Amino acid sequence: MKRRSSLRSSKSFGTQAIAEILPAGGAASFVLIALGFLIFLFSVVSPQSVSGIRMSVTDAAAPILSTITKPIVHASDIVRNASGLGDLQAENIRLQQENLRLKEWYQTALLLEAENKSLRDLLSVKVEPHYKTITARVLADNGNAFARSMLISAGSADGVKKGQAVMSGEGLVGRVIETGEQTSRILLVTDINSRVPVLIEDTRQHAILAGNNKNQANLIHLPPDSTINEGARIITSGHGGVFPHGLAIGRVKKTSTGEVMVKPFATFDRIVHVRVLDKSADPNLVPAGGHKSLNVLQ
Amino acid sequence: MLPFSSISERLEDIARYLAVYAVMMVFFIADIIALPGPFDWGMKIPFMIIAVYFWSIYRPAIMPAVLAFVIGLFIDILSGVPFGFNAVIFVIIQWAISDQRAFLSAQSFPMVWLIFALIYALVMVLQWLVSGLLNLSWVQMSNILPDIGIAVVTFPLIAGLLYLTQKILPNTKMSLSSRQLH
Repeated sequence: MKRRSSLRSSKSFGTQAIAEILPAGGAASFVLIALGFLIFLFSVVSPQSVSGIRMSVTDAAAPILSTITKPIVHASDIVRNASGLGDLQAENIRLQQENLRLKEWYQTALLLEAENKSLRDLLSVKVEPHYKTITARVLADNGNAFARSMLISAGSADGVKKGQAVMSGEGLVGRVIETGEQTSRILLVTDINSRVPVLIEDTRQHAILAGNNKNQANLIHLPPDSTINEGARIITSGHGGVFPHGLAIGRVKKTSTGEVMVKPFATFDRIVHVRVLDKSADPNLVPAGGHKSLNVLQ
Repeated sequence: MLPFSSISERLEDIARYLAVYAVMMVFFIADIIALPGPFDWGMKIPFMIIAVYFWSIYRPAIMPAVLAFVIGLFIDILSGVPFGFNAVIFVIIQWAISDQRAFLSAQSFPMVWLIFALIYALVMVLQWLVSGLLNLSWVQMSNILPDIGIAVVTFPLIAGLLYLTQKILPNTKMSLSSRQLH
């Protein structure tokens, strides 16, 4: 009995001071905060060490997230369709006019393609590769003020690898930063940590597209004397080897203060499906197998 | 051997608690998933922070510190932020609010709402600081204002839903009275 009380007193000696200053249950909270802080530090110092755990948990949660997002996507389609009924006629007229213009452009594109091919053959230019694509669905996003990333329903089992470019139907979305067996995480081009080497199409000026956690990204490392036209198309330059050359990103938009911004073509809040570009299908590196496409929509 | 009525009462209690945790599960998923098109307002409602705050005042037993920590950790894992980022914040909120619950549970709903607004603004500033230090690049302070706005505006709605779920639980002294909501 005496021993037990001495044990109790020695045990309480360390925590007594904390317990006195902490509220009821405060010791447990204190331990959890300290533990959380240690985990946080470890995760920041060595993110690759926790990447495996993160992707294993994400893989396990993917079927649940996938099942839940399906009806939400359907519901959003219904809401969008219902709210857009009034504008349908005007939209139809606009699309018909656009279709006429695109038919003219199509003929021009065919002519240019033939001319391009003949000139390339003449000069023996190395052919730009056709990339295999992996189509996946967006499962989760982290669209808050501090990070811009997305979780998609394709992983290493589908051929997704770290560093691959990710496109929506409209333009570049970002790149793969983590891959699990069934899921991958994409860092969006608008994330504050994203840097993409780009080319301003009309002036052939090189620059870096830097995310800022807003819907528009900044264009940095521009020479002071460079001329940037409002509305100019921004494409990937291919420098650095992460992104292939020529992927459409967005258009230049100047702010009232003269800051050069880029409005991405991809509307991040409406992305449901994305395409991951598989660079291993580069015909300059491996025997060409034609344009293949893998669909992993569930 | 327990009488039949006692077993059925116990089963009923379990079912009531399960319903409360089912609502929290929905909130957790809503915190994680990508809401497309018309449901995506470019900012996220912090369902779980509201839940942690609400239960810490009115039913701390529903949201113990360990559960707040685990929920925060899972949100960290699934949303791609460093582990512990939300876990620590959830435990701090749970701890601070549980400590002051005698005071908070006696307040009117507008007062509880105002205190939530202040706490959430503090949380966002803390996250802004941490994220700035981690990225060595600072997001404009104005970026966090819409997030604070949406949290404050939707708080009565989420709290109202939690109040309804609370009503199915057995009564305790600290539970939210309907007078406070009006």
